[in-house]
Amino acid sequence: MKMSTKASYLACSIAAALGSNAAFAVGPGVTPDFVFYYGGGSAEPQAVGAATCRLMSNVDLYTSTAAGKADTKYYILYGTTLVANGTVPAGKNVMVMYKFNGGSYTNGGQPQSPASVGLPYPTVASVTTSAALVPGATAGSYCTPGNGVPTFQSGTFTIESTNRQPDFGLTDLEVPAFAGINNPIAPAALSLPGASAGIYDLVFGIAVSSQLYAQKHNFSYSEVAGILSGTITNWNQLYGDQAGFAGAALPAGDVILLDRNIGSGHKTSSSAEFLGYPQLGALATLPTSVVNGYLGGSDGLGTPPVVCAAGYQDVQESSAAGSVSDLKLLAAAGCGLRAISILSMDNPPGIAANQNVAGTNAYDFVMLNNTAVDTGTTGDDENSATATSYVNAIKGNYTDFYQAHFNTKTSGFLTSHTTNSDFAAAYLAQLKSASLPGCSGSPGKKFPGNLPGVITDLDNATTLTGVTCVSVTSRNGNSDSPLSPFKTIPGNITLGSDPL
Amino acid sequence: MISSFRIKLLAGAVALALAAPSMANTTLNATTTGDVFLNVTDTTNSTSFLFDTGVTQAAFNANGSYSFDITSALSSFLNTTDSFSYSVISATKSGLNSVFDLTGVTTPVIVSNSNNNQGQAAISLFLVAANAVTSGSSTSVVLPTAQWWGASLTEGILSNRLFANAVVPYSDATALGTALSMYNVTGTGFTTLPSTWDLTTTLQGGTKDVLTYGPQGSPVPLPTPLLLLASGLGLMGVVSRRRKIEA
Repeated sequence: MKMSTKASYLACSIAAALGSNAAFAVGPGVTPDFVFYYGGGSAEPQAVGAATCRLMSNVDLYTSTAAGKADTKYYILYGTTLVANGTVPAGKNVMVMYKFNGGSYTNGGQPQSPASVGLPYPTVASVTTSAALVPGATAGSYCTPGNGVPTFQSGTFTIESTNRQPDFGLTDLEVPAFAGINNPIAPAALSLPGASAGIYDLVFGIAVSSQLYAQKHNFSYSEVAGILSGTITNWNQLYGDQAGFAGAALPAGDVILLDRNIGSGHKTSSSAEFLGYPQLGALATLPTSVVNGYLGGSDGLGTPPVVCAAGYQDVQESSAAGSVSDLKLLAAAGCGLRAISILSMDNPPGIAANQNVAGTNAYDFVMLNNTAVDTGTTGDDENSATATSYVNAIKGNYTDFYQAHFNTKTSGFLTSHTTNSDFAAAYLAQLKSASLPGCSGSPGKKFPGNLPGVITDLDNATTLTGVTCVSVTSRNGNSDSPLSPFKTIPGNITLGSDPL
Repeated sequence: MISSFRIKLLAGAVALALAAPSMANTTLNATTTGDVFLNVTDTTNSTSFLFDTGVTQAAFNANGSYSFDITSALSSFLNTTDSFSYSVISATKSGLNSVFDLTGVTTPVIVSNSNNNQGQAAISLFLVAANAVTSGSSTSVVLPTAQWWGASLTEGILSNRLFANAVVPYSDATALGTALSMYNVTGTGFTTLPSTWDLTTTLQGGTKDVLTYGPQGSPVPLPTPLLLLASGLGLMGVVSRRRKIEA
């Protein structure tokens, strides 16, 4: 009887431990049971993080960047599986390495093609050995609402001598869009993955440094096109709309365009949205980087080429982190240079990491053709520190968004029932889930850090009733497909009904 | 024994041929040298033939005459069932200014240097891709659909930017056997060159495929024997007429 009681207590304790979300971090000293390797765009780490929080508990985020700042190349998450996912049992310690620097085709599309040579990844030892808790952080707290930042500081990552084939790759939009000038391995033929699936909708925007935002909040599509194609190189070619600048040409000053590298989903999306490439064929306009070459350097990341020097610049940033870094650098420099950047909206300017001084945004997202991504009011403002509803993207009034894609090397991979395929399939299910979105209005469903995140594509929604973060129009995995400008949503929408 | 030796030689030759590095490849560019090149597009199959004349933009003499017999390279690309067109292009770029020598069925519509550069970029991208396509010749190559000249993002952009025509048929090209004017576009101005290009092929009833550039409206000189024959016949006619009168 005593033995039985003890066994019951033990069982209860184990059950309680397994069923609890209390922070019992795996810790860097524990060897992972599984290590999985993924890759994709620099706009997707938060979505991967959100999906990870659905699959694992006590999750830590490791970084090699000093001062506990987010890593610029790898998003490395380490936690314990909540439930069994196929052949991956519950209670196992799993490390996920997501590589993102260099563009979403480079990391999420091309590596999934049959001819791929894989991607470089750090050794597990270099991630965990000598890793220390970031000052002020709590171990295992990555998924705690309001957190979502690195919890462990690693030393310098040591890259393995042999590349690895990632189990899946994420691209900001469908892989065929990375053809022609969007293909970093041109003139070779576009390398397509073995299989692709459309997942959530990824919202992009135009971010401008705070000095420019003080003068102008609203840009027309043709103004953005002129800047991206290089016909507008001085701010005095545009008119302002803010106090002291409204209705008059902006003060003269060279345009600083924080551009992206070829293969970047950011760049591909902006070429498609503003320049009509490739869907408009002969009517497409080529980016200035193609016509004139990049002018100003190869990568910001807080160092030159963006300096307080006169002259038009078209800076080739290698990740969204580089763009954010240079926007901050320029805003802080106080030299009056005004910058504009193509940037996905998972980089909200209102959070501390994207501000130069607490409460002061280094940059802001502008309206496009009089339409912001949200209402711009308190509690529903991408540029604030709190939340966004993405309401205008959901309605289709704000059209700068695309359906991100989940790519695998072979069509049968996800059903091959290996630990790798089963865990990848679990991620796919989360990335398609209508309950994943990070926009406000879905309590408890925000991304780590309460940051703006994704909206679910209509193709993947099983219901729209009560769900506020599902777009009511869809790219259907095809950037060429037109987006209908829905003006109103009459309450909740039953799937299959006409929202108008 | 001898037979065996011959077979070995043959096998060796075949192996060498197969192992030989693939020759591509044209070395055209649209930035510095701006070599003058010919496009023949098969608009039925969405493929094209590219020929490098070897004449740089700087060396091209607008007042001169050129003739290129490309029968051996082009003949296998042509057939009697498909539709073909041709154009001749050259582009360079210095700083932010492009210079073109290009054929057209209409006169260019020049908007701005920036607009011109959009056209130059399309040519440059086309040539980078075309140079990488494997060919057995260093002066010509047949381009598949993925790289063909007639694509909307290649010829289409050029036509749109330089001729303000974004729809097929594009304005840089015309049918085989039809003369094409050539224009020099520099900055925001253009001049019409004094001569025209023509590509006459076996499809027009000839025995060769020849690309020519020469003065417009020039009389075709008769061969000397024909001149002698004509003058002789004329003289005979005069003599005969005088004899009739005398009689």
